[in-house]
Amino acid sequence: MDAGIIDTIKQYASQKRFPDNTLYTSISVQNIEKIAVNYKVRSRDIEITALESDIVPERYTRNMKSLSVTDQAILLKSTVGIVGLGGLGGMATEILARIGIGKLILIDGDSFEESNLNRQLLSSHDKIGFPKAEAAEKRVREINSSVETRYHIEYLSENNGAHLIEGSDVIVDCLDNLKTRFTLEQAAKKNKSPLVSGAVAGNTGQVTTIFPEDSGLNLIYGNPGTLPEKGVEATLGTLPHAVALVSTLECAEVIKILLNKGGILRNKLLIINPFENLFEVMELY
Amino acid sequence: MSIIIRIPGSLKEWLDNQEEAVCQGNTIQECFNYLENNFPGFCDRIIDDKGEMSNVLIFLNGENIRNMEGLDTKVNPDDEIGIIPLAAGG
Repeated sequence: MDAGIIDTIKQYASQKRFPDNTLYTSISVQNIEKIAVNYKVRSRDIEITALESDIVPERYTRNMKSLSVTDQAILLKSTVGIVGLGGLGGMATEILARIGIGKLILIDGDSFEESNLNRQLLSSHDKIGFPKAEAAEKRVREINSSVETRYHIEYLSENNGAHLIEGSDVIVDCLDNLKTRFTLEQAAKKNKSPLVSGAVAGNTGQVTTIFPEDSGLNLIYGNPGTLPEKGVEATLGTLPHAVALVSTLECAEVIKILLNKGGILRNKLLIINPFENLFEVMELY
Repeated sequence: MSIIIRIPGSLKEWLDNQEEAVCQGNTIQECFNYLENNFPGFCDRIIDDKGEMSNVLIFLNGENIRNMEGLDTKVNPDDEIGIIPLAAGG
């Protein structure tokens, strides 16, 4: 990065205190955007440069110290693909944009309908009929101007899967049917990207992480040839608190993978049911 | 021979409000038949009119029985059968 940019970032930076009274050096969103415009550089690159100089963009101060400035820069350099932008994907978009994933690839061919309103964060009365991918892109711009987006108003298929998710460091499976989940898994393996997969039915949900060399969804669901397209959610519905919880757990997996931290649910299935206070990890063989 | 069956709390009404039960049999199907005698309606919740496991995932010691011999999968003493809802929604 141009030494002039680094000097300008330092000029705009100021000393602040965390809630625990320790000092940090901060730079505001407004100043980041001003520098980005002046130097014709992407604002996320300004944020990465600031972090590498131990200056915290103010929008990420509450990510510190659970995340280090190095961690935050890694997230800003990362690309995450979110496939399916309904209940799980809408919440995942919100969380991953707020924590500061540098680029989000947003994929869904569907538009909002009234039956989505119970659980899909990006849906609202005025967005009925509006494409979910476009709504997600708009929401990201409202939340975090440094996050780049690429959105596709397209359903993922065998023909376009690998192309749509190209460039993703991690992919999040937020789909609503089994057939496309298996198609996405194949595309993720082809791209050599880890896949975080979540699913919900009624009050119950589950999350797992699949690396390219793992058996993956087959261990959970078995041979896809014999499976129905939908699960028991066709009968039990999909409740918002279970959706939000599963989506949150998917995002935690994404962050753990990107930062190489924590216990990843690889060859494991985390099963949750908030009505039964159930959090159980099942080993998959 | 004694086989353990475990189900999540959300399905415990299937086993008269228990999350675990002991059953007997040489195959998964025989174990389910045993449970049907003790918990009438158990099999109907798992196997649909076409004989398919449409709403649940069944694991024997953590391995999905769809990748084994299905309901005809042989079981051994102290094996554990786990059942969870087949969730695919988002």
